[in-house]
Amino acid sequence: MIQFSRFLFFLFLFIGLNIYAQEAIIVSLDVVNLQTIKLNKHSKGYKILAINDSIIQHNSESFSSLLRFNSPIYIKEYGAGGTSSASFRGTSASNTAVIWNGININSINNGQTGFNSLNVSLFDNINIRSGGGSIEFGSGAIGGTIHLNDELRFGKYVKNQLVLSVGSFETYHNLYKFSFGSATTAIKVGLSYNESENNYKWLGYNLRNENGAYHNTDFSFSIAQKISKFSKISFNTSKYDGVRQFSGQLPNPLAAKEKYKDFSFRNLLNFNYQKNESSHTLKFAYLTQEYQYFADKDNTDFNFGKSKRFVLNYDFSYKISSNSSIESFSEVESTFGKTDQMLEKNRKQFSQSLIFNQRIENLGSFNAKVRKDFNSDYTMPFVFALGAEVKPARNTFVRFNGSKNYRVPSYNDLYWPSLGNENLIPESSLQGEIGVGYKNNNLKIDVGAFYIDAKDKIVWKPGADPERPGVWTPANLDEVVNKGLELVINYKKNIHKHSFNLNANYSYIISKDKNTKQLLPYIPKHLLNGTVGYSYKKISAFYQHLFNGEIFTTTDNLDDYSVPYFNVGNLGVNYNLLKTKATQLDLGIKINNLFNKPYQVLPSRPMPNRNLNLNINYKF
Amino acid sequence: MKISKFLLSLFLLSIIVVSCNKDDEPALPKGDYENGILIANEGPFGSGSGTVTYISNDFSTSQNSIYKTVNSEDLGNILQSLTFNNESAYLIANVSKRLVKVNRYTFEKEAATIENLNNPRYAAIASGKLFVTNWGDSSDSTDDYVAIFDAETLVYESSISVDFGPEKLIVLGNNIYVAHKGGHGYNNKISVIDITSKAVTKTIEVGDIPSSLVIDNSNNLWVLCGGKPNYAPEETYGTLEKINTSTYEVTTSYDFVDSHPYDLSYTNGKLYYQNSGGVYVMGTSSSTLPSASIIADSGYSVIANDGYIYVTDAKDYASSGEVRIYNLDSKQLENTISTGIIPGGVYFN
Repeated sequence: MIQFSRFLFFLFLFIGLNIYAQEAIIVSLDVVNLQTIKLNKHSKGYKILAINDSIIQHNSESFSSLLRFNSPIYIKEYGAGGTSSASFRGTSASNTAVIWNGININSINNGQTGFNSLNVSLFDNINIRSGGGSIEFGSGAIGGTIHLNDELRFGKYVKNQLVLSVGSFETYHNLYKFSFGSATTAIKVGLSYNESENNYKWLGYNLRNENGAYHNTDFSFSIAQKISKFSKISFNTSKYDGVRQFSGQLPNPLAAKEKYKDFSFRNLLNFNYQKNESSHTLKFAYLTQEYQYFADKDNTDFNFGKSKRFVLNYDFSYKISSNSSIESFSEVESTFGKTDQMLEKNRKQFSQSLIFNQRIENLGSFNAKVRKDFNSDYTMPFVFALGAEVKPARNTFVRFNGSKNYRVPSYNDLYWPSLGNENLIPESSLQGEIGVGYKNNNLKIDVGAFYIDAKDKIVWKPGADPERPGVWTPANLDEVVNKGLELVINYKKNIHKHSFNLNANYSYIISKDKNTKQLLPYIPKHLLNGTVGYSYKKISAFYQHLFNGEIFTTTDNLDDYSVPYFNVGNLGVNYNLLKTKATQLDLGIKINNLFNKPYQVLPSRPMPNRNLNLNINYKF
Repeated sequence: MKISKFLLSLFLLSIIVVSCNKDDEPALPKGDYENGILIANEGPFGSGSGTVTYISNDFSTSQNSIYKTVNSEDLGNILQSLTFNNESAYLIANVSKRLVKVNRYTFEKEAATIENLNNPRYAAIASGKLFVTNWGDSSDSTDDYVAIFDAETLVYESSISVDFGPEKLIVLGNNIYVAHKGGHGYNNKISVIDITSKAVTKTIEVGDIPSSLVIDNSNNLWVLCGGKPNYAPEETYGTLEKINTSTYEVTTSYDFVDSHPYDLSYTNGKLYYQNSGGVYVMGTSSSTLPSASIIADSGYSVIANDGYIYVTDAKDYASSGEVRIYNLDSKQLENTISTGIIPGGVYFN
């Protein structure tokens, strides 16, 4: 409570100063979903990478692939299309939170999101924010957050988009999006279907990826209605149904028999009332997730996990002055989870956050945030965050942020029969970041350094419970420090009708176990990816490149078991066949693994050889 | 003329062969890995391969990943067991469902198969055939089998359907005794397979989770059962069963009061096992279990062989393990040698 009263003091100090400039107008009346706007408003001092729908189309093969080539996140994928988890800034898989239209959708059962168990091709944009975000997004937002957004707009329009693609290994990716807008109504419908045999060659061996086939269907629907001059209501729903086989490993891919089914159903009702200085948003979300795991795809027996969540959120925002505002988030959540191994458990949580935003004319802006959760199962830490961005000179900026974040134990951690540990407490981490940058119309450079100090990390280890040597149980054991340097460059240039662009991310990360002083396995020290784009009249092309540094696979960092660094590049060329005011038709070809180089993200699990994709993108 | 030339060359050749066969010439080493100890390292979970570590008999040198060094390929995920026969060694990669035959002294690959293996565990040799236990789906109690391969070519011959979770197996006379640990469930049986008829002729009930078995010099079969672990719905404790192999009956059953013993081995007329952090020794005519341990150490596996006890340590299961070697006379730690990841089995070449 001392920290909280200090915060209030700090807050009123600033209000008292009565700083004079106008706060940026952050709410566009035409945009219904304010996720991106709010994220930007609340992320002073943080780095946000925006991925728009055309970049999403560049890596339509999977969400894993999209992140691997376009974000600073290391994706640990068990063969293309298999189990896939993220390591954001060297943190563990459950330390990246995935946020759907503002709602955290990490699994209740294992605390993470499988990056091949959802399809992102229907989203209008994806934002990736580096750094802690537990205040707004709750558990798991330690390394960073990935925001999947549906966008709705009022205004008069009717738009259709059809994307059809066919590729090597009998791969088909198809999507159709329809959107309609009037002055008071906005509607968006999306449907996608993807399938692949995914039986790519394992370069250097006379073997193929034998058990990698997948198919999935995704449906989304959003609607918004203006009720009055001041209020509007919106509803989003999305349903995903996917089947994947899990490919095997060298030297015998035929040993693989596993199959996985994923189902998710997400619904969000959003009511917003905004008048004068106040804004009220009431959200209600109902989300279900289910997986079915088949140890043998030819057998009908399976293991399963199921969860359902109800979230009620009230967001009140008040503009104190033209350049400062205060917001309050209150959230009640009830979560039910069960697996074939455990009976249904229910967790209830209430959380309250306060966010203060301030802009200082000709200098910069900052956010100060606090949150406290009350949970039916364990004590939650009090968390806070500060972020600031200062513009010391024209085109330059300096940014800072610091926060405390947490990750709650998953249902598996707590309740796995006989092995789960009900005495677990949430992991927590303290982190800080500083960055400097330059920005003009063509170029943006950001160089930053971060430091994350995590404690009470929940790890499953044999003998974690000293009473049960040799038995794998979870405990709050590890203390880890992650530190790193990151560089982001965005550049674009038009010369006559030629336009160029470059987007690159580089990170250097050291993740150390504080007790053993060894590097954590499965985290590359060096990770560099980038895309160079070029367009001239009707032709456009892009080249994506990834350099993935060596990774250790053992906790004692043995070179004998490390996975060597690799380079992989993809090339895409598009030709614009037709362009009128209302319609546009593009033909594209993409060559993945252009140089046909063998590479492995994880040991013994070869990734795809050179493969081809042809696509038609028709907007009408 | 041609025939006489042929006869002449045959004559000359025979002289060479005879002269080369002189008994007084020193025997050439059969390979780099003769006269040593082999550790089968399971390898990391999830991704990656099992490996074999070689340790010289005098413990002075050791070498990791010998199969990969010799053959430039990986064995496969989770190396479960190694079985010797004549000049060969058979290696079973459990998750990769692969069986590899190598020359036991050079470790050069001679044959490999992935046919008719489903969750393969251990092997035994009888009448030129390799008998391999398979769990099938580890939670399905009806798809378990023993697969039979030609020991020379690894060509699959047939399978015998058996009870749930067949694990280790041992040959005596015309019988193979298979311990049914019970896959990822629990079982409490020993199957007796007749080698000639390739059929299960008897089933002997023992304690829960029979995990290891040996045959003593008087042809008694000893089976060590760990009991159901404390995370089972109902915990049970270990038993040591002495079975008469003429009558197929348990003649003596030794009950552990409140513990789960593992890793029975037999050397120089005595039984060894690990239990609750210590290594125990017991004579085959003892009427009771030993009350005190001889060495206060335990590990991922414990094996006694000819004057030494080998205790493997998997550490955190994600880094190099080690094997600690104790002298059975002095009971002192004599050597600690680094191994591959998760050292599971110790074999004497």
